[in-house]
Amino acid sequence: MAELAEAIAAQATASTSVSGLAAGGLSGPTPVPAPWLAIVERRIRDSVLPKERAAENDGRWLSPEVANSAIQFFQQASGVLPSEPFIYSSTSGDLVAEFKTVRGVLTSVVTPSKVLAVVMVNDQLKEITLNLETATPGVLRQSLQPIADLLKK
Amino acid sequence: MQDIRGLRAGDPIGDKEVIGRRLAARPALVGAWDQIRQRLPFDLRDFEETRPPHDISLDWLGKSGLQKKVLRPLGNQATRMFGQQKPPQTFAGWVYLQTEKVSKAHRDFPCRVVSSPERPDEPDHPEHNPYHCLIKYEQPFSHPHLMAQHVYLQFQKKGTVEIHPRTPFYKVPYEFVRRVINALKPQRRPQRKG
Repeated sequence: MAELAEAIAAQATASTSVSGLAAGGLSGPTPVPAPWLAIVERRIRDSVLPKERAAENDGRWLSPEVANSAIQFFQQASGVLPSEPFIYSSTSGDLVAEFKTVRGVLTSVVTPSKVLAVVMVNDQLKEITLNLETATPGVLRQSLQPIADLLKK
Repeated sequence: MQDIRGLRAGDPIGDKEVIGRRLAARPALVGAWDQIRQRLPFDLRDFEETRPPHDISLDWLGKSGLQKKVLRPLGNQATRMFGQQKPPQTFAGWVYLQTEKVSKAHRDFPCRVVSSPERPDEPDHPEHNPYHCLIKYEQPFSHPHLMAQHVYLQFQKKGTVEIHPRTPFYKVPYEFVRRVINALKPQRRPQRKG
């Protein structure tokens, strides 16, 4: 009887680890990253301002803080974003990402702590502001999903 | 600069009158050299105002279309002013549209386009601009970027670009034909000595 109980326990452990339940915690489904994520991450990493060039940033570089929050944003939200973004640095040093589809354009500005997204579809403007320091990946995706869907319909 | 319109501060700009935003040549990110260039020669940076209250500055460019008498002095002034910025920038032209395409674009974000001449009584001042106007939103935005994004998207969808200095109409086809002829010419082989 004791052997049977041990076997059941072992089977239960094996099945839970396969299904994602481990050490009593629940790890949710991992979002599928967009195929362009690695390319955009590389572009951002290669644009981080070297310390010795801090004085000569004319818009060709990103600060490490902005680069980190941009990479975090894309890692968490790339799955819901409509297309590969066109990225550049804003005048104030934040990262601008433009997503174009046949339906319209989504522009987002990533600052060290926030994401500001505005979408224009059929002459309708919608905007959202997200706090990157407090928003969980799930909240981020949930908030972006409706405006990304406007571009996909 | 001769003032052919006679705008006074706060005067509303007519719906059919043409307003434009000055454009500059902007650098790309060092790491993003492999990005495909955008179709339009302007982006959000051209609509960012760094100084509060972040009302977006525009130039009045004509009554119903672009007026050369306005463009020429404004273009010269913009070229000079962009060159004096740090780092210096190259004035590229304007993106323009009819005022109503901004002021009547969205009920949710009502705005007015009003005249705001710069140094109207000092015609010799380098910043004298009798055609300067502003977009004034009735409700403030929570972040200056949002206002810039709104206006940028309007101009992106409805605006037309006027490149400065404008390339003469015959230059583009002429250049194309010249290149084709050059490509079709048989290459001369270097003659061997001896």
